[in-house]
Amino acid sequence: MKSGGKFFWCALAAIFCIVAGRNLAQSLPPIGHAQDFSTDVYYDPPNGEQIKARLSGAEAVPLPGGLLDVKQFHMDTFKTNGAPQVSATAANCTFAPLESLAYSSSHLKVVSGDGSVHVESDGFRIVWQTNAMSVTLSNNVHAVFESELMKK
Amino acid sequence: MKTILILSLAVCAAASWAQPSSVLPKIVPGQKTEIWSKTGFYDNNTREQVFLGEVRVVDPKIKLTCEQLTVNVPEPGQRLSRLTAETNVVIDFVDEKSKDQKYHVTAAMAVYSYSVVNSVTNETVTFTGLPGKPPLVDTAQGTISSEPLVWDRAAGRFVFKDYHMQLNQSLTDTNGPSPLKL
Repeated sequence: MKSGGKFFWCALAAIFCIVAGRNLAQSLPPIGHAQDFSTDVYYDPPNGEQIKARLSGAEAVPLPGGLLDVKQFHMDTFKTNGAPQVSATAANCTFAPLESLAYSSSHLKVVSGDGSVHVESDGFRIVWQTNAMSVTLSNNVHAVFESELMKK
Repeated sequence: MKTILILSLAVCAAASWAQPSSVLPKIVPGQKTEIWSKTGFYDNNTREQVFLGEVRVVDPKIKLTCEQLTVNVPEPGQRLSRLTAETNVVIDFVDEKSKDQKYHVTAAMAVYSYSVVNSVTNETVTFTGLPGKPPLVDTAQGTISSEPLVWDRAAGRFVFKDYHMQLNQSLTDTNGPSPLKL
């Protein structure tokens, strides 16, 4: 996963900073096109050194209304101790940075950090908040709980 | 308790029900539980995964259908402690040690709960019904309705209250199905 593609513009970085809860909405620069991008979102203090989420995609194309059309969407979230929490991938999604929202009708795959839970659906909506994230699974939900989940 | 009849599982149900391998919460290594639904929702803050609409749960020992299933997803390394199935809950499972013993439970709601308090394991599935429509457990030997119907997995027994029993066999006929063990 590259960290910053050749077309990764500063605008995109500013957008993703909003996801971290920093209200930069009023000072958004024009949104541009980006390829092979990856950006990290950090926890608020006192865990400010820890990555909260890593968002990446093969391409981000600006859409009207400040939205982004993201191809090969990938998101990893981490706990404050750095342990992986959730990994989500989709072929594409629409990213609404001002609302900290991503949604799509494409197929979503979510895997828990320890690999014990797999969830898939056709269509999704992910909302980030300061200390929480919610995922709406639109259609044809299929979850698999592996045995490791049940270990004492 | 006078009003509560405790059925010891004896040969019929006990063995596999008492084992930590049926229903959703515990899975024998190498096995897995699969869940399907029309839609779903996950809240990372509460760690609740909700499955909505035509929910189907399948693992090697049980089949469950309902309209809403809420799973309190445990932290990695922890075990599942609570699971709630709601609306038109139907569970089918087969006893491991007596292969012909099938159980069919219907209820409006089923709540699985697991906890360890002072080194004592509490693991139950509590079935509740609707007014005038209590939970039912069907076996080849008969049908029992009870409100609530509690499956005490830790103790390996069912607990009934205000129950009604209908036997499918003669109490004296030795040629029919094996007697229901109470």
